[in-house]
Amino acid sequence: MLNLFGEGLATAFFPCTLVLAVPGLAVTLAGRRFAGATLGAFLAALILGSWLRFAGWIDVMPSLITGAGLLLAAALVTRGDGDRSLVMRAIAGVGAGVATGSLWRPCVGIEFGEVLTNLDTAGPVGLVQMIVYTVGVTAPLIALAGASHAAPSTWSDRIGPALGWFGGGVLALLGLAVIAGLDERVINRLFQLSSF
Amino acid sequence: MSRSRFAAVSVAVFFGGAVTLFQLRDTDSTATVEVAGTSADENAAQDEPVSAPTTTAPLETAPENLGPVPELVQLDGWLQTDGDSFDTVKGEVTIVQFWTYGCYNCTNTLPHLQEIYANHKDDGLEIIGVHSPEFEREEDPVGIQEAADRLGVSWPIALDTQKKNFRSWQGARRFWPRTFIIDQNGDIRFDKIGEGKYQEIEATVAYLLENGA
Repeated sequence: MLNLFGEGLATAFFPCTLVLAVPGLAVTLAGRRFAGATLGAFLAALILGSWLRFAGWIDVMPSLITGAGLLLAAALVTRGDGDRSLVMRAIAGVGAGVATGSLWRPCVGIEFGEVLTNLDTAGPVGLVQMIVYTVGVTAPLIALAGASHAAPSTWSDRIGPALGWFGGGVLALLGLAVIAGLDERVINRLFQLSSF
Repeated sequence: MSRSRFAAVSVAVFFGGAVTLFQLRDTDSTATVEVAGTSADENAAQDEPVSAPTTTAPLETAPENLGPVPELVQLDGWLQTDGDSFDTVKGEVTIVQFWTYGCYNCTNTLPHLQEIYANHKDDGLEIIGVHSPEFEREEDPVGIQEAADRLGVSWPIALDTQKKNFRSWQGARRFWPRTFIIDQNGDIRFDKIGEGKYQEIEATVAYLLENGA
């Protein structure tokens, strides 16, 4: 399990992780003082969706549904703080997580390759392995959520709305690109920008 | 210690520990492949960079039969072979790998396949690399040929530009790379997603070449 986590962590900054990192970063930033809960909801939906897809029980979702998930998330994270902010951000996290689970093409190294090879027969153990690997891959986002929680509230209050609009904008652009059938090009461009 | 400092230190310790563990992972590998004539240490070393060619002993027992191999259909051409269909390797032990040259994990497998090919080509092993591009920029046959030359891919390459075989062979579980071993009867005897298990691949090949299907 440590090897699996380490492999996930090592791929956190690889091009293959950008498809996951961009919406993940957007929901985390836009989650503001609920960044942890927003990212938690995002990861839960991402892991569950990816597990079902990688095990072969579901296929890639239609572009319309994937794009709608991202647009829903965009709409919810741009709302200002209020009584139901936590619930709204959690729903946004789930929407973005489900959509990202359909877009993600992971790096398949030694450890994760072994997990994927046996995922259709591994049952709950496979889900646990998916959690361990994905936590490794998203460790920078988890650290960011932790840092935003630790940040002084005056600081987060000042830039919070801007972060909400920024994150929402990124999610909306990605959602529109998916609906327009441009997701392949967007992913390709992200790969090219991050290849070194 | 303030809350923010505690968080920063925790994150630093977390990352430092994780990276250290990852760096050390080769020394405490938990590979559990049951391969005849190999020790745990040899198994642990299976994923290290290829150096001098070595030959792995065959498996002790027959590898599981995973069913008949699908045909390679509606290909967009071949590179590095005079053959124009899968029929040319029927009856031979064949490694079929779905790959694309822009895929980091795919290129990591190639030195290991080269070693296995060098060890068993004269015994009758064939390899077919089914090139299924992930992105548009990987579709050009000229680029594929240049990449094959650069990466040392010397075996036939089937061009699966439309990814029809990538989908039909892998169903809903589609990944790069994916490696199959086909026996002399046209049945799949090994199936692996991603990198690794090179020693098991070679042991399976050796078993099939020595004992037949």
